[in-house]
Amino acid sequence: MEKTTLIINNGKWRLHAVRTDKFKMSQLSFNFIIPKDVRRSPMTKLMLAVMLRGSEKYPTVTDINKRLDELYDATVSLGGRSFGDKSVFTLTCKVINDRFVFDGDDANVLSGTLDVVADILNHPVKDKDGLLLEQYVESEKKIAIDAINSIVNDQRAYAAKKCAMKMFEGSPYGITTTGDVDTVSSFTSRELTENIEYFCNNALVECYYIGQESPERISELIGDRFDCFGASSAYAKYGESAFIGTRTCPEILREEMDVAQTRICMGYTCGTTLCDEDYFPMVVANEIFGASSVSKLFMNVRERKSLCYYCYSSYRSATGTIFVDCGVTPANCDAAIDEITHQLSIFCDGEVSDNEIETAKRTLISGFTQISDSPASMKTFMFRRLMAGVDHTPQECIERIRSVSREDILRAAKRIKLDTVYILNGCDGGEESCDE
Amino acid sequence: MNDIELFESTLLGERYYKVKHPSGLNIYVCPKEVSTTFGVICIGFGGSVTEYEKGGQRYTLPEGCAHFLEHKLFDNPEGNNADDVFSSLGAYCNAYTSNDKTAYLFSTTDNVDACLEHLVYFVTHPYFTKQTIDKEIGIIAEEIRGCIDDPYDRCYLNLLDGMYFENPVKKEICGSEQSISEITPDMLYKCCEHFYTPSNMTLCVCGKATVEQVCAAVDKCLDISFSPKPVVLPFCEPAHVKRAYSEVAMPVAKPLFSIGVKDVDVIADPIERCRKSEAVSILLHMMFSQSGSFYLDMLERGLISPGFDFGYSSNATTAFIMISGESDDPEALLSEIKKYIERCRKDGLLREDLEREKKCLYASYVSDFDSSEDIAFCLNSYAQDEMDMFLFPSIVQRIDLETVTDLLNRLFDDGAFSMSVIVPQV
Repeated sequence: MEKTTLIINNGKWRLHAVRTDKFKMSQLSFNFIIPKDVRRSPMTKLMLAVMLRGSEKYPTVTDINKRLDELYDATVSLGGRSFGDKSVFTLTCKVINDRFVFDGDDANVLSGTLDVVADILNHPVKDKDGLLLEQYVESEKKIAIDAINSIVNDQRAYAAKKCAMKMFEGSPYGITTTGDVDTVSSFTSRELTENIEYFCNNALVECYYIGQESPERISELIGDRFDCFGASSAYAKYGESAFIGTRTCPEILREEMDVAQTRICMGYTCGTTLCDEDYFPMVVANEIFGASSVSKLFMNVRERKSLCYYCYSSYRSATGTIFVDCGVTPANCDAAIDEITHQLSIFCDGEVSDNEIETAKRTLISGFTQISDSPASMKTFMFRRLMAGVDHTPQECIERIRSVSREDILRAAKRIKLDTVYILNGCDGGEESCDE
Repeated sequence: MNDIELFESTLLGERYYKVKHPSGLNIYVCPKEVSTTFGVICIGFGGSVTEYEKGGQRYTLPEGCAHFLEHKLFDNPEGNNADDVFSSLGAYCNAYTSNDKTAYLFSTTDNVDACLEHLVYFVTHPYFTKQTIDKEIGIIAEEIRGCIDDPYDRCYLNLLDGMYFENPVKKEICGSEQSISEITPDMLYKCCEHFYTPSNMTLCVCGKATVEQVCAAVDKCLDISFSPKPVVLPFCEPAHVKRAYSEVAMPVAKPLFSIGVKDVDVIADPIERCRKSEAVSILLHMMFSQSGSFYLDMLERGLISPGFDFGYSSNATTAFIMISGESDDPEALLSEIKKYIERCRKDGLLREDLEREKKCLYASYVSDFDSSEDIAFCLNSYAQDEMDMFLFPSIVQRIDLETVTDLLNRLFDDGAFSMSVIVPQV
């Protein structure tokens, strides 16, 4: 995984490229970075969604998709994520490599896809007053609001969201690119249109390419198609700091829902982000605690006590937090929470075997080794480290994981402190009683 | 001596081997220069099987048996389980049960031989006791509860139940808390003896593995011999649906819908079935994809959201179209779909749409060859019918406007439609 970084787009953007013939598809992504803001972040996501509804050359979704389909099912997708105090919006283009186009077809798939992206960003459809089309704005607002509301359809995700909301209440870590229903409802076409100028003048842009072309060729293809962007990320430096909880004792929040299974989500602070010295020990500690099907949580809450079907922990290195989630029969809710708490407690007291440590390390090393098998994983790995202000290669990560000691792991585990418990209470008795 | 056949695609620059092992096991190996090696064993025993014949005797199983067996096969007499062994090798393992098969899989970047050997070993060496079965009931009961609360799952199962009178595809794969409580160690051993036989299994491997390596692992660890497949009892299914409409209230934000179009013209020949399946898929894309006017019209009228989805499922016993998503008014949407089908029949389909969708289908096929996991699953899916997966581009290339037009006219009978809706609780 040999990465080359070039300054492109008239000295304003950075291109991080990995040239490889390993894949049949190539991936080019544009990552737009702005400071987090409770209003601006969801507004920007909505603005981009509206821009993706139509451009001067491709005025409707149908026109855009027809053109992309002609380019062998090329895709341009929008994503939004948070990293510490930053919101990141990503447009990802995935295209088939030109050597696979039909005989006699001279399509330049990536160049054609970039034409579509450039038209979307430079020339979105506007009305006679120069505003983004009201019709598209209202339609995308409805889609965004429906998406916010529909999280209730997935109770596991709903519980995780509610837990994080409570934990990060009032802090910038709680700001998402999705926003809430009231905020999204309030956006107007004028506001979104005005945001285009802010976006172009302020967004730092980091491009990632993984594919068969040389970095120089990609730089040439991007050329000056995106001249409207003013800010320079050429020398940008990023970093992050951990969320610090202020609670003296864990906050417990309960909500009732007419469902058969109770969903528990427990939010912990650990104070360690990707740029901290203890990052690798924390990754190993989390793996042992609950990240796999041989972890302490899985082996005890599920296998030994038969309390649940799933019980996992996930380490969020951008905020320095760990979330544990589990689904249980309502009557077993307290037993599950007690067992999760007990497992962390005995772990901190030193109850961890050499076998657990070695198994966790092997799994993590395998994960870092697999990164080179997927363009999406390569991009995620590189961008995540850029945001944290570090520059590890997967091989360096493997070495660092190998060198983590038992003492390092226990030091990390002791930093894991329970902050918030969210319980989505189901009704006892299963399907029948819920249907009554 | 194994019977080895080589398949090559100059288009993709890929090759794979098919080995007919003397035990009756079909082995497929696609060597590839990647870090991750992926292996999957698939058994022709799924959640739909509750009645079958073997050696002239008839057997009945409680619902959820194949899935329960999948969970319990991870146990071994040493007291640890397959997860422990794979994890100690730095590998990941998992399993799933669908309505017609059970699959066990691993992925690894190291210790490929040991992983292959262990996969073959644990799948063919069952160990069950009353205690381990009792312990699993609580875990699977929680899985069932999770499914009961999943509105997408409920919507899909209600659709199958609405479409079919007899087809066992509608059975709940996990069973119910009641049905799994009837499962005994003897029952699971019998299922293994009857279904987990080499002639009813395929092994597919992709990654840093040679055909010799894979065969050596099988020779070393597979100690069961050839036995004929059990006969799953046939069923007779009418062309019309059991129910045109089903509705259940759950805690959802807005109505979810699944529209099914039953197709009882199930084709026995695998190549012809594949050709039809891809032709229906192209037809559906021509009609309902985001490049079509119907999608935009419905989106602008608020009758669908971007999660609008459609597809065609077909195997040796079952075929149906499914259109699903969220809608403020599913019944109005269904009415629009029916009117649109009539318009398409009257106005005819466009050749340029057909060619564009063929390009998309081809590109999606090519993209599967970027991942050892996708390749192993692709091999596995073609292996079920003993088909060559490299035939796909030529099958798609030969699909013409007449074929898709004929399907448009033959599918979508009014009596073949069924809709399942999950409405928000009041």
